[in-house]
Order: sequence, then C-alpha cells, then structure tokens
Amino acid sequence: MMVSSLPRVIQATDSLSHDVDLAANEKSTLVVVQEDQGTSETPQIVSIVGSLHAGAELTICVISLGEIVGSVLVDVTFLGEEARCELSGLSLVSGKTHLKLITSMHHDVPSCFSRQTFKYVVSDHALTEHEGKVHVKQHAQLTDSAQSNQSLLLSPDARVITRPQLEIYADDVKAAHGASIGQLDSEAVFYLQSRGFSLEAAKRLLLEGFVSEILDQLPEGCDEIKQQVLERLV
Amino acid sequence: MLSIKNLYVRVDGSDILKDFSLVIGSGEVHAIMGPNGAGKSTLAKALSGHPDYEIVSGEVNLDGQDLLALDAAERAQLGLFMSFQYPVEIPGVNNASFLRMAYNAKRKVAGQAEVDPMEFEVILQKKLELLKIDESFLERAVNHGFSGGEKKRNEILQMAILDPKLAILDETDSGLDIDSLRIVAEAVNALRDSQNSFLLITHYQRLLNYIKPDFVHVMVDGRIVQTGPAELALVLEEKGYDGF
Repeated sequence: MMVSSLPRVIQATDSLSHDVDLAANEKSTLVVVQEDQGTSETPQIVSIVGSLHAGAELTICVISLGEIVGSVLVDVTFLGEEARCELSGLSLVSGKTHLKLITSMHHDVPSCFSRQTFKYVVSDHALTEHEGKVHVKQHAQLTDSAQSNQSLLLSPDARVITRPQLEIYADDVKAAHGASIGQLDSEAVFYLQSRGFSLEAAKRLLLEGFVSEILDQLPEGCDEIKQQVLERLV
Repeated sequence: MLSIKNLYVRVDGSDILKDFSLVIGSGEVHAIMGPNGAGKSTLAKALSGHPDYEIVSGEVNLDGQDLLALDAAERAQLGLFMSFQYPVEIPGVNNASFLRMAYNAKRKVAGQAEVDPMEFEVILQKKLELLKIDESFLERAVNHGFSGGEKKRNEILQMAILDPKLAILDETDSGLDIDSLRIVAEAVNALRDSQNSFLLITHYQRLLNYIKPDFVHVMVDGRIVQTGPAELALVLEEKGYDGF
C-alpha cells in the first residue's frame, strides 16, 4: 500500500480499511486504485468510512482495473451542515472479475451535498454490482444529492447490476439518480471509421471519451493513474 | 474519379439500390434529387462502407481502386468523405484533438509525417477562417450539444481538414435555416477545385441556388431515371417527382 501527500493516493494491493474524519471546513481528497489481484484468491475488501463536520469537503475516487474479486464499501455520514462529498469511480474490469460496490451517503443534517458518479467498462466474463444508497433523514432539508451509473458492456458474457436506492424522509430535497447500461454505439464507431479511424482506433477513442468524465475530475498529481487507465483501454 | 456500375444494395432484406450507375469526373459537382425512400441516403451509406448496407452486386471504383474491397476507414483514407445527415455526438472527445487524429491517420496511410498539435493549429486556423467558423468549436466535444446547424458546419470543417477527393453531402441542407445554408454552401464553394468532386444529395432545389451543380440526377426507386443540367432542379421544384 502506498500513501503520498495530497491528494492521498492509495494503491490497494490487499484489503484495506480507511477512516476519514473531517473537522469543520477541512478538505480531503482520496484516490484509491485497485489493480489485478494476480494469483491471490482472497477477495479484496476496500472499506472507506467518512464523517464530515460542517463545511467539510471530501472527494473520493475509486479506480478498479483488471481482474478483481472483492468489494468496495464507501460509507459517508454528514454530521454538520454545508458539508460536501463527491464520490466517483471508474472500473475497467475483465476476466472473471466479480466486483461489488456498496456506497452510502447518510444525510443526517440539513444542507449537505453529495454526488456519486460511476462509470464501468466491463469485458470478458466480468460482473459488477453496485448498490448506491442515499439516505436523507427527516430534518435533513435542502439536501442536494445525485447519483449516476453508466456502464458499457464489451462482451456478450459481461454483466452489470446496478441498484440505486433512495430512502428519503425529508420533503425539501433534491435527489436525482440515473443509470444506463449499453454497448459501444455502432453508429458512433462507423462515424469515426468514416473519418479514417481504424475499427480498433475508433473503439478506443469512444472508450477514452466515455472514461474522460471521471479522469478529468481527478485532482492534480494523478497523471500516472490516468496513464494507467488509458493503457488499459487498448 | 468515381465510377459506379450496376450497383445493387440491400438493407434489412430489402433491395434499395437497383442497378444504380453513375460516373463523376474530377472537378465535377453532381446533385442527386429524389423523393423520400428513393435510396439516396442508402447510396451515401453504401459508398462510405456502412456495415449494415449489403452490397449484392456491382462495381464501385474511386480513382481506379476497388472501393467495395475496402472498409469504411480505408475508404476515408483513400479520399472519400461523407457529410452525415445526422452527425453523431461523441461526448468526452475534444473536437480539435479529433480533427488532428483524423488528419494524421490519413497522412500516416499516405506515408507522410504526422503533424504535432502546434503545426496542426496553423492548418486549423486557416480552415476556420475560410469557413467562418468560431474557434469555440474546437474546445467542445465532437458534436456534443451542438445545434443542428452547428453539427452540419462541423461536418464541413472535417471535410475541409481531410481534403477529400470525393465528398458526399447527404442532405446537408436539411434542418438548416437560410443563413446556415448559405454559410455551408459558401464553404463548399470555397473548397471546390479541379481536383476534387462533390456529390450533393438533397430533396430541395434551394441548396442548388448556392452551389451550382454540373449535373442533376433524378433518383427514383433505387436508380437514376433522368440526368440533366443544373436547370433540371428548377423543373423538379416546379413539377415535383410525380412524373417519374
């Protein structure tokens, strides 16, 4: 496991558990990268628990690359008003991957902001599951939350299961959610081919476009991680 | 330049092009007009190599090369360009980078050195000026969130960058307001020279007010039924396609 200064980047080779407790107005960015497990048959469990006091800002990005069996659990609780959490994830998974993500945003106090943005590119026999939860307590008015899951299936045996779950007891909140699962758009592939891109180059460019939303959000100092991701798109 | 002989094309099990033949010489502009369902867009898609368009029989040569033996990318690299009736949005892919990659792909095949972003910027600026296109086009993702008119102008920008031998404009005029139509037409006129050719596919005569074709063909039921000079378009505008 490698930990560096801001942004905190964790290369998760084994299971890990990480607690982030942010005091009022504190800011933190955490990037977790998990890559092929190799011969290890033990499921990898990545667990991140965040607690945010008033005005705190937490940014988390989880990147999963290759063949992975395991779970990613992210559980964030808002304890003070005007706190913000941006959680994003990118999975480029293949082989016999079975990756399960369970992400939860607990809006216990008013006026907090949460975003969950995930993209999946799934090939071979890989399976990903994502339960994305947003829980808004009765007095947590003016909560602003959104979650989006977009998945591309690159092989007939690839599977994606996505379950956005909203549990809302307040009546003045924003809680958007959206999910899409599809394949590379054949008309877009043809469009690029008609501009002289080979079939392979066309598909790669479309994938680059697909993952760019997540990569563009990565903080400065993550060039190596971006490179790691782009190399996986071949 | 382009020679199409006895082309039959099938889509979803239906024969759409039936014994279609056409010859386009260097420097010529041809317009194909015809009613809905005549097979005009099928012709454009089949020529550009769309995999859903099955070539049943026939021959197509571009500059002496068998076009039908090539895939869509190879046809483009050879110098064929189609302006799409409905250009596809490519989110997350920067328009300027996309143009540079397409430009370099073509150069690579031609055995020329690729240009770097700085060199390409110079080429791009000239084309933007020529086509009166705003620089903000370059910073956006390819066609993403573009209006209908912007998409068509982006097609013309791609055409200008790729400098094709033969450009097929598939209903480039449809969905354009009169000002956008004029801008697109002026761009085509600016790009026209003795070495390239254009095939304009359109329903309406109005595009031909701005781009004067050398020949107008009437297409009905998968083949050309009449060919005439530019003035034929005016006759069609007046009398419609009922007589064919």
